[in-house]
Amino acid sequence: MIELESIRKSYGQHLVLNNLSLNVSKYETAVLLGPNGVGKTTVLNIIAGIVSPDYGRVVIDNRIVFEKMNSRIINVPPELRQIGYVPQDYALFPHLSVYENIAFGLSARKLSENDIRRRVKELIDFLSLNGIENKYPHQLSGSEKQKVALARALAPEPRVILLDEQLSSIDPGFREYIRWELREFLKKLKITTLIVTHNLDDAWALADRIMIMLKGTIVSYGTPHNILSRIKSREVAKFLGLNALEGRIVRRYGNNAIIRICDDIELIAKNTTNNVSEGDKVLVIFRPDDVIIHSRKESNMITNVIKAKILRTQISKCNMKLFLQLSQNNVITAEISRGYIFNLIKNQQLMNSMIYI
Amino acid sequence: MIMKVLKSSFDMIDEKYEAVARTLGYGKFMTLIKVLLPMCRRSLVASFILGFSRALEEFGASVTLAGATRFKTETLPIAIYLSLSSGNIELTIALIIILIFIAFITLTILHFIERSRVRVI
Repeated sequence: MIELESIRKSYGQHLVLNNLSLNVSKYETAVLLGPNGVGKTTVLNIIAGIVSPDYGRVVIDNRIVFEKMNSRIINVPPELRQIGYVPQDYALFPHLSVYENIAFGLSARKLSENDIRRRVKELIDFLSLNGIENKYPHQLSGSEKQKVALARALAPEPRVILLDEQLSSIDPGFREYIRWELREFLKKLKITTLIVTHNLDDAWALADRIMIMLKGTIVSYGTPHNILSRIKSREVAKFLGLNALEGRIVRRYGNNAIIRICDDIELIAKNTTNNVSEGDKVLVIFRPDDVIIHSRKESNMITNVIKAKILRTQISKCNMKLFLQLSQNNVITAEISRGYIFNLIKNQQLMNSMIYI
Repeated sequence: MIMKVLKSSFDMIDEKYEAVARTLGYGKFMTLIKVLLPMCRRSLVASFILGFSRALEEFGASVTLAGATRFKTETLPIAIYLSLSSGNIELTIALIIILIFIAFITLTILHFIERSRVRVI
């Protein structure tokens, strides 16, 4: 449905998008996830036609809307692409009421007053905006603004909808509810959607498929369930808040492999694939909440037990993040419940304590 | 002066508004008419008033280009100049009061325009 092929875009000397290709299937909700300043919004602007790439091809619903390859140049203007675009902070027209904002795109299509009224009413009912039709944007709450912006984008029945950092301006306490509500709307709408965000929770909650973007290109993609097993670089693991230890396979036996992280740390990987062999460099990736912590070494702890020093701690809402030093060059994070760690360490000082993971 | 005021108010409008209007089906010209001009209507009025008041007090250019002839090329500042040079103090004071009154009205309108907060989301 949305296809970007070999997209390149520079601003002066600064290369923003480097040979970026992506594909979003029909009725899929795809999330483009990446840190700030990586070029995610530029991708949306290119699809919408607001920014033209230096090279590449953009196809929407099997129709080429942009092509600049060899000598051929095609560039369909934004108003003819039939795209719904909701930018960050929504950009509701401040001089228009909620009704007029939603009807804005319908007037451009020269629909009759009756048709406009009917379509706006449909969207107001669908997004539960009844009672605020005559209000102006500055009189609306964050979630109302978001719904109005969504209604405005949906009104002309676009083929694709693009959402840029939709939840960044919503208060944290309200964010989970809005996230759920947005997901429900998108499910009901059955429309191809591309969402841009830097927030991991938003991505996992909203996506059918996640595409991770770093340094101007897509570095990993998959469903929220399998993307973690597809990570192949330390940078991606770091962005996702995962632990990544570099090591080398020193021995294989059956489906298992022994991975040496450093001189005194060896890990056993079970059920390894056949395409790794002795001597290969590998990356051991695991989630901070998968780390199990013990205050002393028990007799039943046989494999993958490592002694670690607590370097520092960081308290979050429910959990505690521990920064653990395994060796001089290997520091990982572990995330456990605050009660658990205080119970484990008892009266000892947390910092610089030695534990087993 | 008008161009400066208008340019700075157009520059202040976030490009996202234009982008949204374009994706909703409006071309560049209609986006200007439907979005950009209404969004900076206060600046348009303010710049018109500033331009009008600047034109009203113009003396040097009028005298140089058109001369100072009563009932022909007479602007308010020229009328003040002519009546003062002919020694008609009463008329001069009356004209000065009219000019002060116009300036007061202009500044009052500008003050209200600046006070009426531009609605932003």
